[in-house]
Amino acid sequence: MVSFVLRFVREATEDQQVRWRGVIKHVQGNSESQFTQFAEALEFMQARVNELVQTTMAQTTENQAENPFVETARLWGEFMPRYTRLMMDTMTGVMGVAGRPSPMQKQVEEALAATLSLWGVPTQQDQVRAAAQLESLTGQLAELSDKMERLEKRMADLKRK
Amino acid sequence: MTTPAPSGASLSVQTLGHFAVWRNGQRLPDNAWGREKARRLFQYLLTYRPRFTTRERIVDDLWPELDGERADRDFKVALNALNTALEPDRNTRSPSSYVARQGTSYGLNPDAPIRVDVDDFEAGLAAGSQVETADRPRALALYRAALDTYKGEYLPDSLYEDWASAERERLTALYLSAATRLASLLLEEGAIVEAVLWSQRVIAIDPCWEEAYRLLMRGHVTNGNRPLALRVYKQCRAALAEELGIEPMAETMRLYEQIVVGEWPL
Repeated sequence: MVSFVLRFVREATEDQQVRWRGVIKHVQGNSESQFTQFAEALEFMQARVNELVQTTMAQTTENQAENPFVETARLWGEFMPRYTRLMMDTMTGVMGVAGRPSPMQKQVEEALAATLSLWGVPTQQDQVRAAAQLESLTGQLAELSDKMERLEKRMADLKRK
Repeated sequence: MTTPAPSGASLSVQTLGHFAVWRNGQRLPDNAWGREKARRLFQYLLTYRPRFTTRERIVDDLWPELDGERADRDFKVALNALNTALEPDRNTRSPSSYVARQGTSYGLNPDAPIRVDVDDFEAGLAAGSQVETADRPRALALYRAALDTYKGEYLPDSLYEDWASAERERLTALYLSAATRLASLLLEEGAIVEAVLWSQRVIAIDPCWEEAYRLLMRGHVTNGNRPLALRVYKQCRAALAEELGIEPMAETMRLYEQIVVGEWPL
């Protein structure tokens, strides 16, 4: 199992400058990384999953190696493009980086393709479980974005008073 | 729901910075738990309180490597050990005063006398926030007391446990925001040394927290230590460059420039 905690920090100054940044932590390894572009968080996650796959490979026998490896890589290959798309769409609304999804998605998909090419595994579609999980995450992020907007509005009202 | 009237023993639990339990003022020794999973189970139930969690979910989270029958058996053993640790004099046929069951779900008895440091932490911050406008000195005292409760990360001995990570992150984020707020208020009140201390604590946890750097810079200049303020800016810049590959925000750079030419404080 590999799990992550994401923290999004909104920093605002008195002169109305706003910046978003993030921190992603790998729970099982306790490593973390800061990011300003979501692609960096995805790369961090991908690296941790790669490590897990390699560790699993090292622990399996030669006869057992191929199936879990192929299955893991297949699922990750199916998971990433759809995950990337949904997260990009959500983060565009949250972090206000309109117009970026395409290059970011391209960057991540290129990185993914490079990794998968090492394994010689073609990508396929496995949508049901991953899509349900991601829709739930998307909903939560959208809710967070709404809350932030309401808070900003309230703060602006208070300032006017 | 099976929730008996609570027994006379009150529990006090520390989860921040260190895990420890006191029963009627006496600390439970580590070997009181009997087995590690009993302690973990208690931590798990604490994390999810006041909610009840299905046994299936608990078993999945705490015994992920075991199959159904073995995991169920180990759960029962851990639950018995936990109940014995918390109520050593309880008749084994009597229900626990602390761990309640609702059908196939388990949770901490909401009526049991269990005091958890997280509750004090959150209540203190909420109370401070409510009086901040009307009674600044009282708000500062409440914030200080609440933040002093935060001795460190939530359940540090469960750093790699998935089920603890969300709560840990929630409390860390709360601490960072509240400590920054306290530092800012202290600076306004002229309590410079304390403001500097709290700002440093924030940066120790999140080295990219620019507001904390600005507070530090202002604090040092107010204290007459301009060179240190300028050094803090360089630390900020280095941290942002190393972690994020970005420059400080305009306000931070402006503050630096004002300090350099002696235009701050005004």
